[in-house]
Amino acid sequence: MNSTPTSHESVSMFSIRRIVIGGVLIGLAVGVIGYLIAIWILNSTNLGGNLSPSNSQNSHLDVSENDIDQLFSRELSQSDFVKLTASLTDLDQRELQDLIEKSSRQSWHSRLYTVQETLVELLARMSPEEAVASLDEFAEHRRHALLRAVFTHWSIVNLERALSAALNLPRADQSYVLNTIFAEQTSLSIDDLSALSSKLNFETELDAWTKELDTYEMLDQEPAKAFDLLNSDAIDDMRQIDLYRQVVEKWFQLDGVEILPQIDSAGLVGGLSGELLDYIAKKDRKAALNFLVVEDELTSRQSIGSSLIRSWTEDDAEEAFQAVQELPKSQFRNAMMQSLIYGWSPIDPNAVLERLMEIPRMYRTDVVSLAAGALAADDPEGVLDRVLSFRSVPGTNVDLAIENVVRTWSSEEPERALEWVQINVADRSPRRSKLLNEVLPNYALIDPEQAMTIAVQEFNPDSLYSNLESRVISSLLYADRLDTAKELLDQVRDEIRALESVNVALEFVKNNRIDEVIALSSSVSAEEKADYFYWLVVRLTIVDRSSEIMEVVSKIPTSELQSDVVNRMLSGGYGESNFTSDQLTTLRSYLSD
Amino acid sequence: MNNKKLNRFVFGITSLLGGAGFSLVICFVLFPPDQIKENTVPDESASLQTLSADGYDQNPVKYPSDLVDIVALAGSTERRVALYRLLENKSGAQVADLLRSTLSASNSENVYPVQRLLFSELSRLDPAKVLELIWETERARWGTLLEIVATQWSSIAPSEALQVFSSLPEPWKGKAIRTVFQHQRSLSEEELEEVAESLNITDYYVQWAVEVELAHVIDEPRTAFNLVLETDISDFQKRTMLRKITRRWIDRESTENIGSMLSLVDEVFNGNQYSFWSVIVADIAASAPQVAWEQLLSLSEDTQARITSRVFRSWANLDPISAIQAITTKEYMESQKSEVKWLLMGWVFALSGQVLEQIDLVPEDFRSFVVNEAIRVRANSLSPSEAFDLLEQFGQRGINTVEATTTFVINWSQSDPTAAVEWVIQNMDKNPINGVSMLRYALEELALLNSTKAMEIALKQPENSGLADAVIFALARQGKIDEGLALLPQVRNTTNSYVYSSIGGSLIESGRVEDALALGESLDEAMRPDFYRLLAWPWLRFDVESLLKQLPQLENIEVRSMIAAGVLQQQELYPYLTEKELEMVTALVLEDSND
Repeated sequence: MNSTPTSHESVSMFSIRRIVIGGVLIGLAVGVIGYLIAIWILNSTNLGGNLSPSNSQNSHLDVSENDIDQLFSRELSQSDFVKLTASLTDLDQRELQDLIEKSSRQSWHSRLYTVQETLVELLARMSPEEAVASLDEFAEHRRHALLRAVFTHWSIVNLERALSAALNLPRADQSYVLNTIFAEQTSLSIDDLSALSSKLNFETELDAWTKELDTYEMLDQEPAKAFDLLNSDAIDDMRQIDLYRQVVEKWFQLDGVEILPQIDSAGLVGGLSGELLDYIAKKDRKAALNFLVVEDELTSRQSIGSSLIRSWTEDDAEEAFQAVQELPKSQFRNAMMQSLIYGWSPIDPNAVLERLMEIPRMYRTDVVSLAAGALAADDPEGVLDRVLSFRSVPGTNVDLAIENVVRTWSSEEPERALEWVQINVADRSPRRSKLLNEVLPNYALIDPEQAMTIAVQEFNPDSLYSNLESRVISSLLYADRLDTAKELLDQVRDEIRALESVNVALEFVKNNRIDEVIALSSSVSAEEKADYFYWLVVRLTIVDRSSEIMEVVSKIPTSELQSDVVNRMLSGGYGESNFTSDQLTTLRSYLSD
Repeated sequence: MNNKKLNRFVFGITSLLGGAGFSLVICFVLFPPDQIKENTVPDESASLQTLSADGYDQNPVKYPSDLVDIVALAGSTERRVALYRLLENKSGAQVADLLRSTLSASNSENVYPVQRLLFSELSRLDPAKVLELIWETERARWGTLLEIVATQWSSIAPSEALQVFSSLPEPWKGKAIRTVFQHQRSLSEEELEEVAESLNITDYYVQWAVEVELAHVIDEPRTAFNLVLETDISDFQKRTMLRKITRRWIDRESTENIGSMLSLVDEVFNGNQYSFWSVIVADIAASAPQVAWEQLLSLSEDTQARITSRVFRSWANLDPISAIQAITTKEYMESQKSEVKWLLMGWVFALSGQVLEQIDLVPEDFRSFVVNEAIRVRANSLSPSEAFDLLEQFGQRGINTVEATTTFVINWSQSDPTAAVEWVIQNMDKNPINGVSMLRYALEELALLNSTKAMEIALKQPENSGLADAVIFALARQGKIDEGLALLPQVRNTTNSYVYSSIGGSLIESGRVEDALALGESLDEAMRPDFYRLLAWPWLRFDVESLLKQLPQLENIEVRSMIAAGVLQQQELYPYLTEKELEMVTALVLEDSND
């Protein structure tokens, strides 16, 4: 029966529609809520499983130890790395600090540094001060890179605070960070920085930076001018070493080894000159030598050449030796050979002794002497025996080498050195006097009486070194043993007693004991008294003791002596250059008519 | 009725499930899980919330993919993440192009940080290429960028990095090699040492190794100093490291301990290696100079003797007046007068141009010395008129200025010998003591510039002044042999054989034996014996082989005899010849020879 729907049917259809609509709406609501709950639960799980930012500050790092290990220890794919970097942004300050601290102890992988920088960068955004503090545990080279991340951000956000903080850093970090700020702050002019520099007191650092920029401006075209600029500024040259290196490198490219004399004459101090000369010369040492060998301005060229040879000898003595031998005959070549020998013999004495016959004769004495001196510290007696075996080698004066060994030996063991000389060197020979001349000053410090006795007994008029007593007295005076020296003057031969008395008197003057000077004059013969005072005042002029001269002269026992001494002094030219006008007037008053 | 209920239930459940499913689909599309995550985690910085990696994928407007837009991002981490995403799957060439495009970009605030990231990333892909790009940036940034590149490269291929870096010029070579040593982890120390040796960069390896060791002991100054001193590195490097140790030590210690610090330094060095310890002492003293000076007195006499001048100099640099007052007290002068003179050298240096104003503080005995030092220190910066005015003012105070005048003229001669010579000649009568020596020095300098003029002036001076000889000696010393040779005939004092032998000796030393012998032949008969005797010495020393070969062949037996006699004289001092050679030379001496 086809019929239109009844009202009851209409009611029924309406009811079903309501049920469907209601169901859909409720379904929508449940779906949305369920989705959100599921996501929330999922997120909580994920955070715990990956980086574990947890609400519980006490426990989450413990819980996620494995995850952190994974973060720092495994090689990440680029995709993982990108995701990881993005995820790090979720961490709070405490978590970042903990991770930075942990990262400082992690074994290295290729992305570790990038992760560290990201962590530090994030922390710097929250608290730059904490970011700086978090870097204490890092090694210097790593700390600097991370400080760069902090201060690059900080100086953009708050330049003045960043600069203040930089100035409070340890000295090792300060310059690095300031230079980072100067270099990376593209929006700031030097004028802006200059205004802050006087306020915060970093003028020196800024000055160094502006000089660096000035240097760069002229470096490529005019390196010589850039060099002068660096040399004339007031900044410590040592801290500009990298700039100097860039400049001389460029300068070398333009002018080659010809720049060596100009670097040498610049007067750089603190070892910088040597460092730069060595750097340039090392580029082509042979070319440098061939340039320097030109016989002009010899003194300065020899000085540069000598430093080149010293450095070369340390690196490869054989090669340096070969190069010097190949130089044309010249004064320069001889000077270089001398430098080579002086450098080579002490550092490798055995090698150089083995090559003795290949070394030109004129240098062989120096070689044996220097090598023996270097070897003497370990076995002086053995070395002396070895030295004697070179006596037949032409050009070798073994006596000089023996002296060198005995000198070194006697400074350590004067008694044994003295005994060796007394046993092994012929009595009354000039050689014996010469060696005693080396030994007795040291022996005198152990037994002054015995030393003086030997000095007197061993007097040898044929020797150039006959005044051994003088060596004993000098040694005691040098050791400030003035009274011992004075007591021994009685044993000194008459011929030199006045002269030795002057030596002792001079030290008495220096020690404000002028009365001893006058007392000492009584032991000098009458004929030599004037000489004694005259020699003394002349010696005093050398040590700028004009006040003491005035006092000594005033105490000379007789006016006749006074006049004699002053007359000799003034007529000898010692007045004009050593005394004030008032002192000269006083001195002239002692002159008899 | 039951059917109806069942239908309603089915409709209800179906609608519910359909609605829920539909809502899930809509939610997933509209609120992806990561976005919800961002919004649910509490964060201190709102900007940080926008940067999940997946969010970036789905929101290109928020997370730019264009480099210019990335540079424009305000947050450093945002830039970093966006850039890493941009570079994902890009080749080295593509990254290099991106990097190059930033080099010509305007220097916006963020371009440098982005460039650093690009350099770092490109280092991982194409380190050789990135090295080239460094040199296209401003020079002031090379150091930073090279460090970034070397750090990354060292993680990938340290040996290759070292090979490339070892051919760089300094200072980049040293910086880059050091960075690789510091950061690489794939080579053992032994392997690294081997690589360094093969690349001839062992010096750098040694320096790095000592730096590593130093880092462990840097807070133990004695050990640290000894470590540096015993290491085979250049003196300059040693000095730099010693200062580093010292500065750290100063930062750590209280000024109350300066005395013990100085004492420790003296114990370590014991007066040796002045160039090293003087720098350390100066740095320590400069941290609190007056305290250092006061605490010096508690140290041993030997230590005081060694370091006092350095400490005093630091004090004088800071407060020259207090410093000089401390060393000129009656008590100090009585006990240390000999030292005061040397301490005053540092004082003069510190005071620079103000010595005249403060000269009354100087003890009378040392005023002349101080004036001399003051002139020496400032000689190069004073014009002659300024210098002579200054000397005049010192003179008016009764101070002897003879030595100081000489000092200035010597310095002046080096820069302008012509003017210096003229001044000395004009003022000779005012400087009877030092006039001749000043003129000698000035003429020697002039000779190197214009030997003819120098000789001309020298010849106008009294013959006994020996100034013409001085001109020849100066030329010989500086290797200007031919100029000296040409001027020799003008020398009037023909009795001074040393003038001729100085040139003769230089000729021999330069291998010009024939010229030396020819010079002898040109001399007066009376001069020849001395000339040849003196000629024997350089010939024997510098060219013994030619001496032994040529001497017997000389035709003039008298000349031969004179030279042979000279050789025998030298042989007594230096046994250059073998017995056989000696016999040969001895046979050349004529029996009636006086020598």
